[in-house]
Amino acid sequence: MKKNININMFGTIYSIDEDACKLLEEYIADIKHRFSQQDGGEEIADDIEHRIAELLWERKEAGVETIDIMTIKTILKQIGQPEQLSENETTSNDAAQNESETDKKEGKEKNKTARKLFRDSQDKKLGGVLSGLRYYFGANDITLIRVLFVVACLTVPLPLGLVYIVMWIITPEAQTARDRLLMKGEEITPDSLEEEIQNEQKRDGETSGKDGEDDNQDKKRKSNRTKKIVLLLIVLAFAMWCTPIASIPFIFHWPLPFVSGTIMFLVFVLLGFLVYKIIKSR
Amino acid sequence: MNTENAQSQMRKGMLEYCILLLLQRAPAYSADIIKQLEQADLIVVEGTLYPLLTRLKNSGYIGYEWQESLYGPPRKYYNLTEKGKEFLSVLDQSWTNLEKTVNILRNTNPNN
Repeated sequence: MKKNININMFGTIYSIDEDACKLLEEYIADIKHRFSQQDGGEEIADDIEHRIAELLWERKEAGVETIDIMTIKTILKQIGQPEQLSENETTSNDAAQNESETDKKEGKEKNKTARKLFRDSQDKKLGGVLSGLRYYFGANDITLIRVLFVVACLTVPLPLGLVYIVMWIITPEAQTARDRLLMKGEEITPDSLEEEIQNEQKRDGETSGKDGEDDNQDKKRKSNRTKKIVLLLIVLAFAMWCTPIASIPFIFHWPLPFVSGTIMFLVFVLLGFLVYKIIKSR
Repeated sequence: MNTENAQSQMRKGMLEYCILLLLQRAPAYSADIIKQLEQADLIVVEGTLYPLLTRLKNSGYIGYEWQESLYGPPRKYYNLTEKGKEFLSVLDQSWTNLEKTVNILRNTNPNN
């Protein structure tokens, strides 16, 4: 049994299974991303989306009640994998194209380690910073890392807590299946995307049912960011208030893991950075 | 890998020419173009067509108009422009020359 939803493509409503919809969304997002760097790339992505809609329409007209994941896979195979399509669009420089093809081969081997740093939104305690970091470095045991981090916060004379909060603000959250694959350093193919989406749905099913998050996500993101910034300001204010006792050996003020080292310098740098971030996100 | 590469390079070079030839016969939708290419024994991955069509359009060789359809979402109806016709005759000439060269190399012996 699968969840089924309705989507609107260019004015026509199609009934589609949720997992099929996710796969389609990821494909379209991938296409848009790949062609965004090109001249006229938006139009190409739009054309492809139109073609997909055409193919969906044909099935609907033929009496197919709903689009399932096999149908989407067939359609996407017919249209072509995103790598194939954008590869063909290199400028008419044969040498450059041959280079990019061999690069791709090496990239596939390297991909196991070429990861992007994300925050893991699914396996997190506070902000998922540590969870995301462990994928970046290829470790897997999150509990050990969390324990080590807390111990380090309390013993190492560096403002690790501050660093965590800063990373919480800066590091993006892995929101789509594509993000999660990048975070773990896995290859992005339609198969791996589909696998990741299914894993995500299993995990969602384990926690309490979350439906129709998409509308609230933007609001959540914005209010989350404000909360984090407020939290950071509070911590900084507290740290500044505590600096008079920074001259006491660290072991005696271990409840204040945010205070140590060149605190004033850090404070000013961070405040400046925060102001820049707030201005940028407006 | 090398033969695939060589073949795909040859095909890529031809595809633009083929599309223009098609549109010279009659204006068409992208789905038609794919079908006609198939009928002419050239199998293309559909998606590779769109970047090509956009490039041809941006160079002014083809144009399109949106058409509402009872049979689905609105579609682009492509046509050959005047500039495109000129470009096509240039390509016709290039193709003839290429063919001539290849035929010579295939059929004659340098030690004659």
